Amino acid sequence: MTRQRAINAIRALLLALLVAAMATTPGFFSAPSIIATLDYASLIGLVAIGMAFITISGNIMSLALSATMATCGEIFLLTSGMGMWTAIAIALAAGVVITGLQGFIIGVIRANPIIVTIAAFALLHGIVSAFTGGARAYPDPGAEYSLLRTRIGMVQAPLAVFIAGAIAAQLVLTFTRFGRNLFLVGSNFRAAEAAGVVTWRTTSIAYCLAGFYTALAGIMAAARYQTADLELGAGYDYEAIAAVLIGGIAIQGGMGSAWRVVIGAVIFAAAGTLLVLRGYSTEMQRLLTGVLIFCVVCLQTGGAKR
Amino acid sequence: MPMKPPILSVEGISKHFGGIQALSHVSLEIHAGEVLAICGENGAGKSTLVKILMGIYQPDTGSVFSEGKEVKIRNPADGQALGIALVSQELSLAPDLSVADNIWLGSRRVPLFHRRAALRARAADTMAMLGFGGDFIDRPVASLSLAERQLVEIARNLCRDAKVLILDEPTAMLSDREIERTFAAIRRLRAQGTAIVYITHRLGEVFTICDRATVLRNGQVVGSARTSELSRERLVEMMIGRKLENVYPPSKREFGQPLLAVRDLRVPGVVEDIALTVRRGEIVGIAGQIGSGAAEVIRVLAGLVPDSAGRVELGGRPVPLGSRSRMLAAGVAFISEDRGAEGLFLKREVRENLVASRYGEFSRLGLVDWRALGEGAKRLASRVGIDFRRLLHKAEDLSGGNQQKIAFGRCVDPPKPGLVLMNEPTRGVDVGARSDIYAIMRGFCAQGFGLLMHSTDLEELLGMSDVVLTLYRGRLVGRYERDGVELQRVLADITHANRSA
Amino acid sequence: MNGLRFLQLAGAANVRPFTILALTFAAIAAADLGFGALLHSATIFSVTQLFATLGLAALGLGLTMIVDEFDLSIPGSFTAAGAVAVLTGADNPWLGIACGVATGLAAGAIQGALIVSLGVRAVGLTLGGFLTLIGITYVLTGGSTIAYSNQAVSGWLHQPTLFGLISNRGVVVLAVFLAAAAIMFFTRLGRDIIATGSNRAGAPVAGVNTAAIIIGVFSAAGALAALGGVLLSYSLQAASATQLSDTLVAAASAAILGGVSLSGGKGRALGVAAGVLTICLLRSGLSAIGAKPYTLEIVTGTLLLVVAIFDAPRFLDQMGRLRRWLGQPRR
Repeated sequence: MTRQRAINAIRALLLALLVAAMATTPGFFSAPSIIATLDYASLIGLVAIGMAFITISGNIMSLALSATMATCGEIFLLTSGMGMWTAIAIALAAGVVITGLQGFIIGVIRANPIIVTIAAFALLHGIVSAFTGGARAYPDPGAEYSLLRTRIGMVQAPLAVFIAGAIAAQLVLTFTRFGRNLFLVGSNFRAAEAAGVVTWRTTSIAYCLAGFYTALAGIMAAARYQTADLELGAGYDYEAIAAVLIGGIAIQGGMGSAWRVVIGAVIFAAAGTLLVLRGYSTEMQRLLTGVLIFCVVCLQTGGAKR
Repeated sequence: MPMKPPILSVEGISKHFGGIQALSHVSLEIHAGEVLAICGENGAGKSTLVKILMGIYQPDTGSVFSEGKEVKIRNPADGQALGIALVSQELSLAPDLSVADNIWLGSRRVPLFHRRAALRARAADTMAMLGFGGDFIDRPVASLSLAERQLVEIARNLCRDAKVLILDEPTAMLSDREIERTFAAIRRLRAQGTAIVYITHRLGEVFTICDRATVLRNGQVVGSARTSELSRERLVEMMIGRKLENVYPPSKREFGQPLLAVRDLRVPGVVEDIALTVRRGEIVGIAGQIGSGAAEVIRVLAGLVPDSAGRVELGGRPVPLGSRSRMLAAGVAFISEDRGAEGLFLKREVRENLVASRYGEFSRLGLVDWRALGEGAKRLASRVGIDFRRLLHKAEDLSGGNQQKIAFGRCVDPPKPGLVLMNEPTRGVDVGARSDIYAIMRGFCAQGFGLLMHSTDLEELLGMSDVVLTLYRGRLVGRYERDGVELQRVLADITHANRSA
Repeated sequence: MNGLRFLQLAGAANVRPFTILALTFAAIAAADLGFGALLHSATIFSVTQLFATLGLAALGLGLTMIVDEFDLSIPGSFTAAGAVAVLTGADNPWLGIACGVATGLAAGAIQGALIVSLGVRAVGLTLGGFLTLIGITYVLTGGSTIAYSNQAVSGWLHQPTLFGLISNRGVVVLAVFLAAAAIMFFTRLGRDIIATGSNRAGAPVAGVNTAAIIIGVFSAAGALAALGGVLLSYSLQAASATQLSDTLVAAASAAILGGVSLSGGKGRALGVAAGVLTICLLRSGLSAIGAKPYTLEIVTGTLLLVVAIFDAPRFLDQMGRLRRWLGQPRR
């Protein structure tokens, strides 16, 4: 218990430190900085919501979401000539199928989720390169998808999608039988099975949703940059799991919420903005982000053991 | 013998977990060259005491003395240094290593380069003494039966010249012949001056092999006496604190239509050719040792064993095996023997645990109706006697008895009464809560459920069952009605004592 | 020899990595028929060079998998150690090696100690470790490639030996593998490592100090990966944070193909060596016979997926169920 108290104290201290840094950093509360922060948080956050479904399901994390995001971004641009909504539907379907298949394998035979997603990462890279010959994807010249790039006041399209996505995810977790079963499967797989939960189905749906949210991120990113290649999602696996963990979702699974992901993504993005505003080099930013994630994991896992 | 200080003694040991007092002010002593039985029912505190002696748990208060000197046992290595060794049901063998490697695993006497002929020879000699051939020590432990593994554990401690050997329910999974081997090993150790702590709830063995018995009940020492000065009846009274007859509520013996009919049930390599029926209002008990397949029969019928075959009819309708969710839909509830791993979601709320398999009743079109769910959970809690103020507590904060009530709460008041399958329904449940559980079980019968249970606690099995089936090595060997059943017959059946194996 | 016996022998757990290696070789050789590129000494040299690059990282990862954990920080130690060695070893290469290996050793020891004291699984924790190590590398290298100017060292490491089939660097890596195999087979340590992976809860009861074993294994894994990274940076005369970002995929594939079980308790150093050789043979062999670069990714991904499926705890159960379902008469 004293350990738990110490961990809570450290958490509070870290948060206070963050707030103090925000308050004393000139320009952090300026419009451009807030827009940039929320924008960054939105893309990470979308992938993080997807990641959270996997983490809650007890399967730790996926190392293939970055590749899935890139793939779906490319698919969106390459099919953009068929109309925006069709392209979106195709890209989303691709994300759901790619990730859902991994979930099916993991759910039915309990294959190791880390290895399966590493394999999926390599396969996606190989297959996509085989199709594109390694070339970057560009939108169809006549394609029209400016809706995905609109901005109303401080709200950019990705932010709107992120907020709507987070609300939808929370509703799914709280009010659907799938959501309730997901917590059971994640907290104790065998007990869920014994209680009659169709565990493979719950696991598969969790991965399908992960694919859906990752594809959304891919689409938004591709629309933003108007080009995509396999590097589009590079690093997103790590940033997404970082947001999930910073939000306080246990890596052991069986607990968590979409709100926590939102908080985690915003804190993660805000920390990034702070480092930029304070003039740290990109290299130093990487190091500090790494240390931050390391500390968060330690604090969190420390809290899990009594 | 009393001249010398006891080789190991504890004084005033207490230990609690959450709100549960597992041990309070326990004192006992163990002398060289004697076999001390520690008896007590499930939940009496035996295993907690063992874990304290092994350094796995630390006591809240109290002291441990080794040969008169106070010692602190902070971890298993400290225990080993004092010459305390444990053979428990949770085996500590590494399945991926050979027998010889396992015998010397973790021993302080083994040099860095451990592949020494002398060590191999000692291991081979010891295994030979226990009746195993020369090449046995090179077999991987993964290929051994449970009984063989247990004998390897005993051999390990023989090789290490343990001063105090703790045997935790050593015969629970052994056949008669293997029990004899174990007893022979114990007698040899005693003659060598080893102190042996023999943990059991089997009364017969207390009188066969033990010199002295200390009885634990609800975490306290009730008494201690030489077995030669003790009667069986007195020992039982000490263990359960009352006469045996009162524990089990009587059967009403009002049986309805057949509910479950099983034919040709088979799990490759585990059980063969099982046929049984359960009527409404009836409790059928399957007796069998660990590894006999009895627990597995329950799991197959729950739909938890994918690789199984057979014809199963519920209320006259055939149901497929191998899918828990389809079995559940057909009205089959299952209560696991392992609450932590399979029975409950210890990290989740009591409420969620109660409704875990019943979200269908509280949702429409896949959407959960939280108000109905809250009311339903309250109703289920009150039916099994769980305080509804604890509905939002985590399940792990409840006592073993209350946890088991949650598991039963999942089965009560279904849309229509069905079959309840149980493995070890009162494992880790304290004596007080046990009678509540038994009352709940009889309550099921009155509502027209059929119950099929397996328990290695034969007194419980015989006390609750209307029909007892006996299982040996995956095959049914006997069937006894409540009136015609005798403990000795059942015991003989499941150990195959009267037949040549 | 009796054909069935031969098949059984080839499929036995200890031999399987070598069987897979032989089959891979045969498959590429068959595709190569008529070109003769595969047996060219340049191809073999490039295989052994890749072996030298990947081998120690795979061995380190394999060790953590034997104790039923998974160290995501292996590529981090690999890259960070390379940068450290380049920065510190310009004048005295031994100092660079010492500093580089110490980096990996310290990273492994810290993470191992945290895993033991917090009582957690390694995956999450080592993810943080990986990002920190990569961050350290970025800071050390300033985000670009830093050069190593000691030509003598890189020349020696790159020097072909043994009929031009393997470089001195490859020989060093091979020697480490042999030492690891000897430790695993002959010493108490090897036995205790297997026991820790085989029965983590039970091994302490037998007297194995599992905490020390886990800390030791993670330290060794970090140090091994670091040594691999140092040797690579010396040999390439350069270090950067982005160098060989796909080490994890290759190392995991190699360890698994090398017979390390995902559920712990199984694995041998020489098996991992065979697994690494298989991966290297695929890489160099496929490019030698003119296959497109993506072929390699697809082949590696497929192999990894197949092994993950065959190694899955429920695989046999579900296969039995499928067989039964197919065998049932349909109405």
